[in-house]
Amino acid sequence: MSKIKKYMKTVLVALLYFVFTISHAQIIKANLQASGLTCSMCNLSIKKSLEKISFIESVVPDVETATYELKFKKNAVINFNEIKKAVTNAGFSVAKLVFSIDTQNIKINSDKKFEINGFVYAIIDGKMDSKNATTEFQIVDKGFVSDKVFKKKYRGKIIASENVHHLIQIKG
Amino acid sequence: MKLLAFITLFSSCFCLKAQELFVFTEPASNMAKGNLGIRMMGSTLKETIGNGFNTHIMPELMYGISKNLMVHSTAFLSNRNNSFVSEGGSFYAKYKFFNRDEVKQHFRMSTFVRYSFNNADIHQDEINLIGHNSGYEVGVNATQLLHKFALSGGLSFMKALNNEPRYKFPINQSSNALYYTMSFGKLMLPKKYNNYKQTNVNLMCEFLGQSLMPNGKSYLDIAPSVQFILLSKIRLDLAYRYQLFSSMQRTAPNGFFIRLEYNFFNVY
Repeated sequence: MSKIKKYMKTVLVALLYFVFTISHAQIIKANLQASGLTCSMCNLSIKKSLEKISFIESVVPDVETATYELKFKKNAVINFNEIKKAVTNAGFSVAKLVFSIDTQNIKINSDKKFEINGFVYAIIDGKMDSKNATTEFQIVDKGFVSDKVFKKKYRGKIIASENVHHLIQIKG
Repeated sequence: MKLLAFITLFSSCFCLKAQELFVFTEPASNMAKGNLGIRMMGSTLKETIGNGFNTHIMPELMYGISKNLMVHSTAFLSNRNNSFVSEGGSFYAKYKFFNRDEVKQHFRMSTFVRYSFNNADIHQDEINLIGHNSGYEVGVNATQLLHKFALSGGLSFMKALNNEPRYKFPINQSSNALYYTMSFGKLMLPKKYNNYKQTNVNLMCEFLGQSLMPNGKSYLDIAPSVQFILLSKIRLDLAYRYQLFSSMQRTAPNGFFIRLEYNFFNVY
């Protein structure tokens, strides 16, 4: 009986640790700039496409600059590839995607990588800023920056993979 | 040369800024995947013989199948033979095969195909697959957006067929044609976007030309237009098409066009 109790206790501790880690390993929000458009009709089309994504809570657009402030649902699995797909399905491209991450409880590997919900994030420039509660990163994979920027800065330096995002830190 | 000078002058006057939702031509861009557009176009054209006017009504549905493929279907109604009758329809598909986007800029290329059917009598040299001739069209177009200015060009091959069931294509007329277009557009208002409720005003000018093969008869039209986009989902176009020159017989080349479009997002 005591063995079962001990086992149950271990499972409970593991579960609590898991929930604790998940709830703190949060990607909180993102700022997206789209390219290929000027008019408000195109802009609205992207907004509607983004609003279809299940893990997005709200989309606040700036029509003039074609940027969108994305707020994510709490504890949702964030898939940035879906965000890119929503923009391209609307007929446009992602020019810039910056996200904020809760710095606490993120375990960084020695090769500057961390994992959240099956996605690996590899920091290629900068670091997780442990002095602040959140750190901002830009995704620089193909399709998350303009073709011109990708060719100039990142082509040849990044090995593309569906579940790996390469990041640069956005400093203050 | 005079014509070329006129076109150059006009395009240079038109400032380098605008939009690409043209009235008489399609841009290389597509509508968003899953979006549905409903259009109603009306035109009244002055007949070259007599004092009559032809009125055409063209309801149209558009749908974005994927990010690169969209389709249109259009019905043609006309009162050319006094009473208002349904004359035919058209199916159109456009595939975007090249896309380069930058912030507030893009360059895109697409290829398209149109099939039209029409039961009206064939009464002019011009091959017009929008409400006159049965036939098909294949072509390419390219569109450049530079902030508030858009420039778009298209080249296509048209083949006219018999207007079944009653009217054979006249054997003394050319049934093949090259169709070429050049469109310019500029976003005039708002100067700065604050929200989706601001009315957008676009000014546009299109040049539309056709050369019949092999007889070489040609025409060139100019079509200035003003466009209002309301609530970022409703579009109202007002246009006038005017024949600059023609060496072919055309029944009613000049006239007014009005088009209303409503867009539904994420239909499927």
